[in-house]
Amino acid sequence: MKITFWALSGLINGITSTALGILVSSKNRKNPLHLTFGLTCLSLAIWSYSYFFWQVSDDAKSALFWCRFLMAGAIFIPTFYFHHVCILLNIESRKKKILILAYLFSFVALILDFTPFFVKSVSQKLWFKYWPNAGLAYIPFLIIWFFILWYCIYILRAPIRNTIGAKRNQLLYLFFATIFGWLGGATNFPLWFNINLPPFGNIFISVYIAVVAYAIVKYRLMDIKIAFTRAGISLVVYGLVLGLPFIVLARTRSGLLATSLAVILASLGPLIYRFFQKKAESVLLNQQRHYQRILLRAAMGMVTEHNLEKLSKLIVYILKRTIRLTFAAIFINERNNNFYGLKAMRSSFPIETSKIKFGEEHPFIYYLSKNHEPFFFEEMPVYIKDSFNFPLKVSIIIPAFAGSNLLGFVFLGDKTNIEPYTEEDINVFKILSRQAALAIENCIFFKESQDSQQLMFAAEKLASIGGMADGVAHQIKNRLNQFSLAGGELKNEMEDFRARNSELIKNNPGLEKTFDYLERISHSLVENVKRTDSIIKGILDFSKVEKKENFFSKFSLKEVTDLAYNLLMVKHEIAQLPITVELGGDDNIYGIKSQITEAIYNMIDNAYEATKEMQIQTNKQDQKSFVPRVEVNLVHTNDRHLIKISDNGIGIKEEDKNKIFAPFFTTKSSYKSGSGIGVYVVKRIIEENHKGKIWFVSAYLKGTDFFIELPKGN
Amino acid sequence: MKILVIDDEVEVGVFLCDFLKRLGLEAEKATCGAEALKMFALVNPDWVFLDLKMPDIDGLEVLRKMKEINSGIQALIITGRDDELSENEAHSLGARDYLIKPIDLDELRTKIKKYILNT
Repeated sequence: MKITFWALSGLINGITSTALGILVSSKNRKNPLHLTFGLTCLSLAIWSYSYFFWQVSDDAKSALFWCRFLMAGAIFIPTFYFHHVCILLNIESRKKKILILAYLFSFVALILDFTPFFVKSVSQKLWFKYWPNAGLAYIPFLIIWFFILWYCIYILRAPIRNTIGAKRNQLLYLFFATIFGWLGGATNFPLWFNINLPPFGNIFISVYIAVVAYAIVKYRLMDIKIAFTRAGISLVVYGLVLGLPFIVLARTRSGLLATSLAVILASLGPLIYRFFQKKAESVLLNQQRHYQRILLRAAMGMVTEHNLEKLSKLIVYILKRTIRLTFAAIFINERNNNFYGLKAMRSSFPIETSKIKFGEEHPFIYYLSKNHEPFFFEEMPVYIKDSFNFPLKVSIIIPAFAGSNLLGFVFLGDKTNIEPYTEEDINVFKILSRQAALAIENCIFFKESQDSQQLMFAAEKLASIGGMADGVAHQIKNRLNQFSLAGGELKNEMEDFRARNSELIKNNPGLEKTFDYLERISHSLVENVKRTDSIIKGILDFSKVEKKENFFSKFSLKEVTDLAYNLLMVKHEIAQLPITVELGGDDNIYGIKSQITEAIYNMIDNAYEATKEMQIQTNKQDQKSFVPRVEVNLVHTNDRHLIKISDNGIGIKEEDKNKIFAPFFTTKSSYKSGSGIGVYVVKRIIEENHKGKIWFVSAYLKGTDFFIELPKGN
Repeated sequence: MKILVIDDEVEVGVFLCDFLKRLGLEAEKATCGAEALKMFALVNPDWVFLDLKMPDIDGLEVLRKMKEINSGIQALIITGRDDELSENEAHSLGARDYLIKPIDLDELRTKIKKYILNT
């Protein structure tokens, strides 16, 4: 068995197609793109291995067999490849008819292959002992075969003209590789028709396969210009490095000279290569390096911007302008929302942006949590790309992470000059994303400290007003005193008059009536003074921050609920509240009075607010009138007090149930309702300070029952 | 029985004096600490009804001074200041009772009957 160069070329082709076919199709077995390429490689492999076996055949019979076998592989190559290109260009549905015809053609040819109409026989041509001769059907077959091939190249031309960026790059690779590879393979055919041209181009098929595989698998393609430049320089440099010593050897026949020259050139080779490569690339990449420098400078300037709005606008503006993009958009997750909202965007065309956001549960966000570095949109799995909700075509996605926390991300469109993004671009984006994350974090922190400062000012103001409570109360008490004295004196004066003038009054029923009425008025005056006084007392007591806050004692729960009632009347500015208090005979409980007062007040307030919301709900739906009800109950067991606050209000939604006790959580929008800190504070009071328990039972629109359990003390 | 009513609000004095007169007691009024001490020397009352918050001197200070002049003077504090500290101090100075404004005249009548009229 003689292994010639031709046999070897077949074997090498076979190995490359097998290896790359497996590599590509295993990367994503379900992707039809990868699959069709895998099939192309399969047919190429069959062809190549058969080619090898044909070349090493010792007799005509086996040679003929292998010829037919290799044609079986060759028949399907253009068909599978055509299918692959259709999928790549997304025109599979449009070319369905032609695809079906092509497959049909292939199957017919396959059947014909094992007849003499295809491969008639084998005979000696040039230095090949058993080269096949064409049968009758072979010529029409070849014509159609080449047509399919030409068609592949043809349909690639228009998309190349019409696309930009990475996709275009990919197609260019494919285009040139196809021409190159097929021309190489086509060098096999002349000899079939007794044209004495050896199939020297056969080995180029491996080159074609390698290039196509590269184009599919690696999305980050070197700019094709750079690829050609590097290839060209390599060819020249290494051609010289290898070739010169051989020429010297051939001319001078001096092994020593040749070897020393080879050694010198081999050591210089890489340096020369790098020198020329740098020169070439600095020319090609000059424009790119320029904007990359600008971007990096801008990145450093970002950190000084404290306003998140301005920063976002700055980022997209810099990106779009410096790189010259179709658009740049930035999404940020503010204030622990559960979504990433579009914060700023600059685009060559106007787009409605107000509703665009990605929820935290979106598969895209999940994908980002696994990919912290900038990446191409095309790299994402199909199911994410399909669920992507953005009106423009996104080319690059740059996440901005602070540690493991995704602060936001940037979308970039294609470059307007059609150039694709390069590895260098990606590296610049990596740096940018870190700077951007820092700057965004800065802004958020800045805003939060501003907000908390505002809260502090507000709290300070309230505290100072609270501090004035004593003074205000004092003033009001003095005025109330006047009312009380005046009312009392009015009553006294009338009683004295009655006593002194009983005859007069007896004879004047009208006068009697008047006096009775006046007495009623004075009584009402004094009574209302008392009521006002008790409200003021309640507020003052509540507002006092005494040093003995942590003082445990036994006290009446009724006092606490009464006080809460008064406070609520003040807060909600109404005269009557639908609150019932059933405490049983013994309403004494053990705890820190001021804190329990605050807790009960908060809980009753919440219950009352819930009934108000329910009222709004039933009004909206025109349902029968709703009777609000809030009830406070007290039960004692051996070692515990159990307080129940129940309402028939709006209830708690399932999704809110585990947030109820969280600080700052509130479903109310009214400014009067406070900060949402009430229930959180109550929980802490009950659990931490009293070692008690608090829980609730609730259903949306059905009402809520809160339970507070306090251990009995002594 | 002579009673001196001391309160910086004029009308308190007017109303309380009329009220006391109805009960058959003699009553005079003063509206500041200085005036109170002057009246105290002039009228020589048995009882003082005293407000604590006054423009010139604090009520308890006035009481202290009065005690120096006449240690047997009886005092009833009528004030808006509702804190234990002042109450304790008032009691330690010999005040018989400590009433918080607003005053209910019926309650006051009961107290007067108890302390002054002994009925």
